[in-house]
Amino acid sequence: MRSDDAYHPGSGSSSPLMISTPTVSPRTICLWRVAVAIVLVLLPLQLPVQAQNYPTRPIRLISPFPAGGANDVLASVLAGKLAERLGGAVVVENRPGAGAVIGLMVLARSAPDGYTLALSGSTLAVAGTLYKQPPFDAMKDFAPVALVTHYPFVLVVNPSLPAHSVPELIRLARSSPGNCSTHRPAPRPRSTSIPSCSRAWPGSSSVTFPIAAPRRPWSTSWLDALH
Amino acid sequence: MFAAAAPTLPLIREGKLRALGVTSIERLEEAPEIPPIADTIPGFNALNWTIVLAPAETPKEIVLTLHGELKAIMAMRDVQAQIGRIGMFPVDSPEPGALASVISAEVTRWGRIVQQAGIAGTQ
Repeated sequence: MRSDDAYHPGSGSSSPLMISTPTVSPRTICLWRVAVAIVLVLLPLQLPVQAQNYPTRPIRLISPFPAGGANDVLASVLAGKLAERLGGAVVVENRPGAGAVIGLMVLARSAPDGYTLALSGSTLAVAGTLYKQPPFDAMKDFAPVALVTHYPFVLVVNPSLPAHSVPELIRLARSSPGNCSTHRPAPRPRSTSIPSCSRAWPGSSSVTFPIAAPRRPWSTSWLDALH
Repeated sequence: MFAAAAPTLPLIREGKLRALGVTSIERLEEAPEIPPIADTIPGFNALNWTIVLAPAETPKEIVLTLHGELKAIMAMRDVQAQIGRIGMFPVDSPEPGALASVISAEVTRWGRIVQQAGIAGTQ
């Protein structure tokens, strides 16, 4: 069998299909083919057209942390600049809870149309291991857009603590096992990427527990909980 | 307490908190007097990062548009000054296509730390 026959089994002169449709002229078939070809060529152009018009309505930028924190401040800066450059509104929506997991779950379930974004932190990298039933798949549920910042944490103590440096804190922790406690500013453990002091300096012991974030941004009333 | 610099630096300046170290190898531009913990514990480097995400299957053209805008925004001097004040460093982002491998490497790295800390599957 010739390869042409393999791909056009109905093209032989004995085909009943050709015999039963004698009224369709070759010219009509040709026009239909042209029409189908035009549609097929134009279909892929739909997406670029959509992107060229983007955005046509407000974009939601989810900050998965409480208002007033570093993530929220950065989200506001980005939203303001994006709105200027894109010529449309960009609204920051704080969706805190469960160490940023709530906000990221909202994103994973949103329509993939470019109108819902989120400003994630390192939670993305730890949730899969930390949770018994991971709430999302960091590799499959999201389309990464851009890394924007990195930042360290600051190790702070109550000024009444007799430690003025990391070596002094290590000596203090070793001299009074069980009395070193580290705190994390989240309703549930968030900064699991930060080793507790017992891991940082073997020989000491530590208790790690989270404290609630302040209700009001920049409030100092929660300082009492620190020591 | 390990705290983000943004809400912490004002309290340190007011004397309500004492800073002992930063978790990065670099010092903070806004508070260069705080030494890296790595000065005491060599190799100690724990950085949080922030990334803008869209849902999976978002049209590639839109992702690329947003990527270009965000990259330009992070290169602006006024933006860098603003984020510097909250203790952050700007990142010149890799292309969206290369970010999957960045996230994958972080998932592997922090997954190992979570396992070592004995807190895997505890939430």
